[in-house]
Parts: sequence; structure tokens; C-alpha cells
Amino acid sequence: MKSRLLKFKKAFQSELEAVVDLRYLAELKNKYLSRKRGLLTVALKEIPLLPVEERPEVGKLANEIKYFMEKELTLRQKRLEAEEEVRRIREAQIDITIPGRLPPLGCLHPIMLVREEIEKIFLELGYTIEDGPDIETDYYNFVALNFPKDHPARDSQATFLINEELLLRTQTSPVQVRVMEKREPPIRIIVPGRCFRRDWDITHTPNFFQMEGLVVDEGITLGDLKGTLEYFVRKLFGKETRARFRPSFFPFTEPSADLDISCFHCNGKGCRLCKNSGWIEILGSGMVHPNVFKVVGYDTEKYSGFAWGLGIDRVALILYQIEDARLFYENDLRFLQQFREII
Amino acid sequence: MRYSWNWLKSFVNIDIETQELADRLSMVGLGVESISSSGDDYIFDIEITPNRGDCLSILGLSREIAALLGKKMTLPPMTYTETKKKAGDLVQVKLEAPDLCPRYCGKVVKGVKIAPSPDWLVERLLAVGLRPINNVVDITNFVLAELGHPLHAFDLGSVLGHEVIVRRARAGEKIRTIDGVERVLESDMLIIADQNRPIAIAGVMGGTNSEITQKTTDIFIESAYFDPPSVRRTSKKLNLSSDASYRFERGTDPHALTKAIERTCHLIQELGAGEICSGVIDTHPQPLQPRKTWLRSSRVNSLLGVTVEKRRVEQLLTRLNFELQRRDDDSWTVTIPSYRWDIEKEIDLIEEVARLYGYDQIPSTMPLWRGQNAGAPNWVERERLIRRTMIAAGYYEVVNYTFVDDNIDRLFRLEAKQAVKLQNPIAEQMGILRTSLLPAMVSNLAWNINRGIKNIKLFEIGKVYHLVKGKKRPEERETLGIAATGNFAEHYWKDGEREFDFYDLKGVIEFLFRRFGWETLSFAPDNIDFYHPAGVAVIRCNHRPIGHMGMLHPHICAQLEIPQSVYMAQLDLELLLKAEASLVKFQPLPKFPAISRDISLLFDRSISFDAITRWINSLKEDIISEVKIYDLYHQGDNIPKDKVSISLNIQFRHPQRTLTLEEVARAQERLINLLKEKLNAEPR
Repeated sequence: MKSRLLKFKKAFQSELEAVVDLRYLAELKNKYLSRKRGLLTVALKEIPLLPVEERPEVGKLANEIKYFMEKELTLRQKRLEAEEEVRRIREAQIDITIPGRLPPLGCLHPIMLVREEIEKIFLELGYTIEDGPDIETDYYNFVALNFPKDHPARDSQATFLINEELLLRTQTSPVQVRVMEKREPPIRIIVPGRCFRRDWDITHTPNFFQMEGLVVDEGITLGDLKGTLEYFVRKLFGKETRARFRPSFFPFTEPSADLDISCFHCNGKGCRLCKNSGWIEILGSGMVHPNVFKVVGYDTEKYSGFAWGLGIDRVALILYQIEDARLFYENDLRFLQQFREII
Repeated sequence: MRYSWNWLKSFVNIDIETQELADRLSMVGLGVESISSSGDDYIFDIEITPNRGDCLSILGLSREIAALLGKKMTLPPMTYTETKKKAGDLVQVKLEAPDLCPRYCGKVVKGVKIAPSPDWLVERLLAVGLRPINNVVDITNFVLAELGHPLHAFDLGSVLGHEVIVRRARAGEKIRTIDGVERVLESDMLIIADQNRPIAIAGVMGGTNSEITQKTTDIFIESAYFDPPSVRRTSKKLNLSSDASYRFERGTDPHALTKAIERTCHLIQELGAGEICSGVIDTHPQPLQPRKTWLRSSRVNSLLGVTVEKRRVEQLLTRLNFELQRRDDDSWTVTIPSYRWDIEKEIDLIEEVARLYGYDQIPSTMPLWRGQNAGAPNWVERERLIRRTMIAAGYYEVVNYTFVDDNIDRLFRLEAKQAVKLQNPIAEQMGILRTSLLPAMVSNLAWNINRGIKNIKLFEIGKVYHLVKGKKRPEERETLGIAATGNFAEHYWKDGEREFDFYDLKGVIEFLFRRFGWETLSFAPDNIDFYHPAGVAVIRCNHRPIGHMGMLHPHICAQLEIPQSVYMAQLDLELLLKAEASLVKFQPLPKFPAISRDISLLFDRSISFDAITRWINSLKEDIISEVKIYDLYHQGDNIPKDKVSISLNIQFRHPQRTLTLEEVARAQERLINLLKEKLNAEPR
């Protein structure tokens, strides 16, 4: 009996060595310690059949072996469980280099992006936003803005006609007149909107977007115009941007000025974007012409003001260095998607 | 306009380099577009604004350069000798329309020898972009380029009755202009005529009947001042413009008529091209008086925002040939040079002062704001929010042309809406203003599908236009368009694919409205031709129709060659942009748990979820807090053809206590009984 027990122990030890997972471990446990058929359990049940004098010694040995087996099994189980845990973690490892699942994000049209940028700058300065109709009368679009009939100044604005009286506005400037007609100074507004001219080439589309600005109050000067627009271009094109005002002509402003900015691409050294001049023309501006004030019934001795207008499409072309304005209206997603990061 | 550097230097002693001159001209409003070298000369290409007709010549630009550099100008030689024959005996001028031609001068040259021009003259003409023709024509063109005054030479032998009459045309009178086109004249057009017929359209172009030819021996040289608007009207009506009309439209110098003739005669003599008859014919019924205005020093300073010394004002304006006389301590009376038609009033003089003083010398300031209203108005904020919401929902913003093809637009036009037509469209297929955003958006989808992009979600915010009965002004309405096709999302390796459907579109519209706190949105079935009849809805807000949505009719898809299903919607934004935004009102958080029950019922196939919820609401069962669709299907083994199986998920909740299971069971039973009774529902 004693030798049988010692044989069990030896066999158990070698079998335990061979156990590689928890399933075999359970089988091993069953083989020796199962309550009914376990080899050791069966042997223990036979002890009462032994001669009385052998019983204590054999009983002690059997219990020691049982204890030994249980301890070894537990130890082994813990080790196996720890190995299993390590394996599970290793198997759960994902490839973190695969691109993520993007939320379905669309984006603004680049013209609207620029429009909002400009609006933001002027709203911060205390301007408000106004709008007016796309379909205008000759009076608001031209006459009230000091474009007489049969004047060559109209040549620069090829006009779409609807009938004898109505046309599509060629500029956002009629809104100046509409606002001043219904309100007294002080006025400080910007007017974004769609405009229409019969031009169609790489830099002109038959409709486009303009932004207009108007300030009217007592004591407004050409210096105020300069200061405001210099602030604006530095905000939009960067702190280093220099501004240059050149005399120009618009029937509804006098003195009038074109505003050039130093080329932000080459920093004024001369490149393709600025046609090697170092300067890029950005907008037209000027002091509101007294004839326009007369039309709306303002006292030209008391009030003065300045106005400016820019092509939003044109600014977008320059800002994003797009060469063909027609791309704006093709709405090719491969074009639109490029502005997704800007929002 | 092209200017020759050498030619300019013959008028002014320019002692700076070409590039510096270009920069300085640009800074006084004469924008130099380019400088190109040509032999030993440089050509300046300068953009002349429409107010500065006086600069459209070497003389005109020289005046500006002289003022800029503070130099004197030298005029070219103008002397010549005359024969004894008097011009007045050879031709009579009758000025019948002095309102359109305040002054008309002429000169006669006999024994003309038509020949090619000498090289130096040809070179000058070529330098400024004029084409040499023959000595006489070239001389008039030379003087035009040099002094800015258009001249016209008539073959005197062809002037019938030797009478030159300046009159309005008779309606229907005809003339063949030297470009070979026969023109029909109208009664408000000014012409030059002989006894019988028009021989030139005044200030625009001469007629072939009096053109200089190889046979010409005697010529009559016209130098006139024509009314600018009249020349422009005629030129526009005839769609005919010339170097002459371009200048007359912009105003020429009525005091320089005889100067131009003198210079011409000098050149004719120098070239030995003919003998100059004595005397200038000068018809000038009402001599033009010098124009005057006034200028205040205080106004200069207050408008420019800088103090310009009075002496400096005088100096700058005198350089530009204005004559200033002190009126009082603050102001001057100013006499305006006869060629400066752009100057009328004080403000025009202030611009001249600013221009020469230098815009860059004026200090920049920021105006103070003493107004009340500032910041974006509500409609702007709201439009922005709509844009942001659409982007967040995965839609790309597009911007399309306002102009569309009537034939395509018509497919998407509702009821009897009338489109606004253009008189002068830029292209035939862009003849009307869009009545809907959808046609262009559907072509955006087609454009992208053709470029291999299949999953597309777009929106546009823009105006649509239509005529309104009894009103002159067409209506413009701010509108939102939505169009989508393909899968709901781009394919991701881990996920399944799902096609964009009606409920995606409806969901984004509901989402949009929820962001404004507007709940009173409803969708009703309707018949709209361009949608698939099985999936179309009219959208109402506060019971007013504001738009429509659905699946584009497969016929139209086929017509536009789109091989996928297209969903689209259009919403009028006018109401939404103006409406008050509703404030969020806080609801206390529920204190007691909800009990959730799923009920599956068979309904008639024509049932609507809306009807089910309306009946459930009519129960006024306070403890029913939410009813959702959990599942819906009409195909399956145990579902009859005319039935649909709908599973509802119902949340029961009491605000003050925990519900008992019995209470919930009773409410659920009442609900099922109601649906059985009212909607013929069968439990499954």
C-alpha cells in the first residue's frame, strides 16, 4: 500500500510536469482526487481494510500526499491562469496604425468660409450686417450711386437686364443707398452678397460674391478709411501684411483708393501670385461722394463717411492660391473637401 | 493705353528711371500695368480710369508727369505757312446742332500727295499701337495719340456742294462706315453730312463715301468738340466704337481744337504732303466759359484727416494748371482747366490735393463708434447655425450659378410658378433665374458620380426667384436645398454598408429644426411630379407649407443619366430666418425609473405611424412617456400580404412614484384594446 501511494506521487509529479493548460490540469486533478474515482481517493477508502498497526503510518502518508497534490495543483493553476491572461491580452492587441472611423463631417464652401472670416473681423469692430435684393433698379444700382446714364464708368460693369426697369445688381453698393435712406448716421455696416456681371473667363464668373463696407458719422476721414482697412488686411492676411493705397476712380466715392497688400506668398519679393510686383490688389474704397449723401438726404457738411467693396471670390482665389474662379461653381467634391480642415 | 517713353520725354524732361516713374504714376492714380522695351524705347501700359479722358494722350500724361515732378512742359512745334487760298471759300460749315456740338473747327489742305509716312512717324504710331495707313491718315492718328484730340480728314472732292453740315440724322438714313458696314441711323444721332447724305457719324467713324483714297487731292480736316453722352449713346446703339469715340465719350478739350489743327498742319508741311489754305473755320456759337468752383482749406483737412498747409494746396493745384484765387482766409476760387471734365466741385479738388500730396502721407486712424446697433443680426446667426448643422451632419456646402436652363428648371418647378427671364443671358442654357435650387444640385451629384464619387451629401443656401402676379418686382426667397445619393457613410472596413434613404433626409431636417427649438414640424404625403410617388412629403411648419422632400423620380434620374437613387429636399428659409428662436425651458430630471414594454401588432398595410401615435395620445394615459417604433416589416412567413407588423417600444413612467407592474399591465391592455378597436390591429 505504501509503495502504491509513493508510486502515485511519483506518477503525479511527472504528469504535472506535462500539463500545459487548465483543461489538462482539471483532468489530472480528477484522475487522482475525484471524489468517486480518484486514484488517491480510492486508495484512502482502502485504508480501514489494512491491519490496525499499519493504518496510522499509511494514513499519514496518504494525507501528506493528498495535501502535496492539492498544493501543487493550486500552484500550477495560478501559474497557468497568469499565462492565459498574458495570452488573452496579447491576442486582443489591435493594429493602432489603421486610420480611424471619421465622423461624417462636411464643410463650408470656400467662398462662404472667406465671407465668414471677413464678417468676423468687422463684427468685432462693432459693425452690423445688412442685405438687399439681387434684383435691383437702375436707380439704386447706378443713378443713386452717381453713375449717370451714358457715362463710360458703366462700361466696367456689364449688366444683366431683366426688363426696362429691373436688372441684376452688379455690386453690393445699392444696399448703401437703401440703408442710408431708412436710417440716420451713425452707420457702420458690412453687406455681403451675390452680384452679377456679364463676364466669364478664368478669373470672372457671371455671378460672384462681394462684401461692401460703409461707415458714416461726423468727422470720418480718409485716415479712418486707411486705419480701418489696414487693420482688416492684417487680420485677414497676417500681421506682417503691409497695405498700400493708390488713387483710383469710383463714381460713388471721392477721393477713391485701390488697396494693395504686400504679397503674402513671396513677402513682396515678386512671384507668380503677385505678377512679380510684390503687391496684390485687394479692394476698392473711398470717401462717400457728396452726391450720394444728397440722394439720401444727408447733410454733406455735417457727415462724412467711407465705403469699400471687395470680391469675396477674388479674395478666396488669392488666399487659397486657386487659379481658376470657375472651380468655385463646379462643386467638385475633390475641390470642396480640401477646405474641410479649415472650419 | 500705351505710352512711349521717348515721346513723353520730348514733352517733359524726365530725370528719373522708368521703374521709378511707373511707381510714382501708380501712386497718383495712373496705374502702370507693365513696362516693355521696344528698340531704344520703353512702352508704358497704363490703365486710365474712365474719369481721366484728359490723360489719353502723350500730352495728357506729360501734364501729370510735369505736375508730379514739378517741371515745366514743352509743347511740340505747331508753326506752318499758309497759301493765299482761303479755306472759307472752299467749304462752308453749317452747325445745326450746337447742343450736341458746341464747337466745330476745320481746315482745308490742297494738292495733297497721298504717300506712305516716313519711318520716324511709323515708329511712333507702332509704339503706341496704331497701324500706319498713309501720310494723311497717319498724321491725324499721330495728333490723336500725341494731343488726345480726335481729328477726321474728309476727301473734300467727295463732299457734295462743298458743304459740311453738322446735324442730327434723319431716322432711317444710312451710311457705310469705313469698316465696310452699312449703318442705319436714328434721329438722335449726330452726323456730319454734305448737301445730300451723311458722310460721317460724328465722333464715332467716317463714311466710305468721303474717305481719303490714293486719288484724293484736297482734304477737309475736322477738329470738333462733341457732347460726350451723345457720342456714347450713338456708339452704344450702333455697337461701334473707335479710338475717337472712346475719347469723345470721356470728354476732350474744346479749347485745344485749333491747337490740334496747327500741329496737324505743321506735320503736313514737314512731310510735304500738301498746301495749307489760309484761315481756320471755327464755328463756336456760344464760346465756352472757363468753369470755376471753390475750395476750403478747412474741408481739405477735415476730410483727409491731416493738415495740409495752404501754401502746399496752392502749389499742388497750380502744378496741375488750376488757377487759385484767395477768397477769404480759409478758401479759394478755383478756375478749372478746360480739359479736366472730371473736376466740378470742391470734393474733386480735395481728391486732387490728396492724390499729389500722397495717400501714404496721410496718417492712419481708427474711427470711434458712437452707434448703438452692433453685431450680427439674428438672420445671419441663424443662417450660420443652419450651415454649421448641415456640416456637422456630414453635408458639403455647394454654391451654384443663379442662372439655369429653363428646360431643366421646369422639371423641378412647382405649380404654375413663372420664372424670371433675362434679356441678355450670357449663354442660352443660362437664360433664367433659378426657381429651385434642386436642378443645379442634382447636376452637382451627376458631375461627381461621373468622377467616381458615389456617396454624396450636399446642401446649398441661396435665393430662388419667381414672378408675382400684379407686382413689378419678382420675389426672391432665401432657400435651403439638400441632395444626397449613394451610401449613408463612406465604407469602413469594420462596418456594413447602408444606402442613404428617406429617413436619413427626414432626420437631418428634423435635426435642423430641433436646433432652433421648433417642434411644430409636420410631413404630409402629396403629389409632386419630380418625386417618386412612393416617397414624397410636403413639409409644414406651424401648418404652413415651407418645403418638400423625397426621392427623385426615376424618370428624371434616367433623363439626367444618374444611375443611383437620389434624395432631395427644398425648404424656404424666409420664415425660419425671421422667426423668434424659442428658449429652452428646463425640465426636471425624472426621479423614478421607467418601465419599458415591447408590443408587436399587425396593422393594415396603409397604416401610418402618425395615426398610431395620435390614437395613443388620445388615450391621455399619463404614465405613457414615450412611444417609439422598434421594428417594422411587411414580408415574412406569417404576415398576410395586406398587413404590416409593427413593434412598438413604450416607456411607462410616473413622475411621483415607482409604477407597479399591475398598473403598467392595465395601461398596456387599454392601449392594445384601443388600437384593436380603432385601427384594426391584431396582437401577434
